[in-house]
Amino acid sequence: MKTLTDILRAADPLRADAPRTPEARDRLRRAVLAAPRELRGQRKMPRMTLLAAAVLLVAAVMAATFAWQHASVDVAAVQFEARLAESGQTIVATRDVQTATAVPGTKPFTFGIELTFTPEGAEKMRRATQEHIGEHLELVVDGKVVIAPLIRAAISKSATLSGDYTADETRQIIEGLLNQNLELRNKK
Amino acid sequence: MNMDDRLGLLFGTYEDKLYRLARRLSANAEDASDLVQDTFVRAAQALSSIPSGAQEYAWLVRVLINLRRDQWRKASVRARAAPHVIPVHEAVPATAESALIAKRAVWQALDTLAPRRRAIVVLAEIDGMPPADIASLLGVAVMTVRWHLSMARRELKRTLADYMGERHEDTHRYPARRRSAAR
Repeated sequence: MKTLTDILRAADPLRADAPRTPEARDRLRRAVLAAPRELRGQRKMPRMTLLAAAVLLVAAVMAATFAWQHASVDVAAVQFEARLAESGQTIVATRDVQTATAVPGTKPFTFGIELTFTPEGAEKMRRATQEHIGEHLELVVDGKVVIAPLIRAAISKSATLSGDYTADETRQIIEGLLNQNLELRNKK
Repeated sequence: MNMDDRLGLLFGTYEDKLYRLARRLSANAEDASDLVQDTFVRAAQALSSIPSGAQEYAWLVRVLINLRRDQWRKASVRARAAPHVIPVHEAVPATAESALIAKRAVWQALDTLAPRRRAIVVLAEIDGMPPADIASLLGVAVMTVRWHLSMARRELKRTLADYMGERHEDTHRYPARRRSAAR
């Protein structure tokens, strides 16, 4: 009885084929070696296009960055204050704001602004809100009450202006707040 | 070393070994030459990503098997449109022609195997390469090689029972083409 190995070896086509001629090998060699030259020719144009696209992209990014920086200089200063609704007593103002960050708003495509306070500002907030639990707090931007939440517990480090602003409004308020803040601190 | 030099070196070093494998995976010498040429063209397109040293040959073998698999898939689709039957139990005359018929039957049976499985059978049974070396060459686990080998041997033994002096009862019930399509 033959084994599988026996019959596979007996049927090996390399045993039955005529030996390959040196000419056949040489033809194959020439065809293979011609391939890279053809490939180089095909790649020349895309490489140039890629380089031009990269240069255009870099230029566009630089122009956009410049435009953004230039535009942000002209943003109007924004006044912020947090005050007690009943007495109108100001607790913290623009100078007490340390950071302002955009957060998702309550409606699609709108934003709120989360403010964190400086340590002094946070302490003022904590004391005032602790003493006035059950009253309303007013967060005011440029004289307009944005939100008047009920004080249920002491607030200290941060507050959120959930005004459902557009992206442009959000940017203006954040930059206005931070620019104003910077000017106030420099005056100090 | 520039592109042409490296490609020339790869061709000079591995062309013969690749042709031998390609021939055992192809229906005829011309197809085998085309397969080797396509493999080196792929190599020319990706010369910088071909690992150096012992892995060079493994890289080329894997490309060759993948190319063969693409051809095999296309051929399988065509074959499905015009199905043929492998003569599993035709009478084997005890003449000089019987050897030729036997060879054809063997290669028809091998044609039913997927190229990777067929390559594993060829490397193990004809070249006598150990499973661990095949696994390293193909970049698969030794267990995978053993499994493919075991499945292929079972399929081939069923199909070639007459030529091996054996007879498997289930050969008629499960034609070879259907078994291979189930993979």
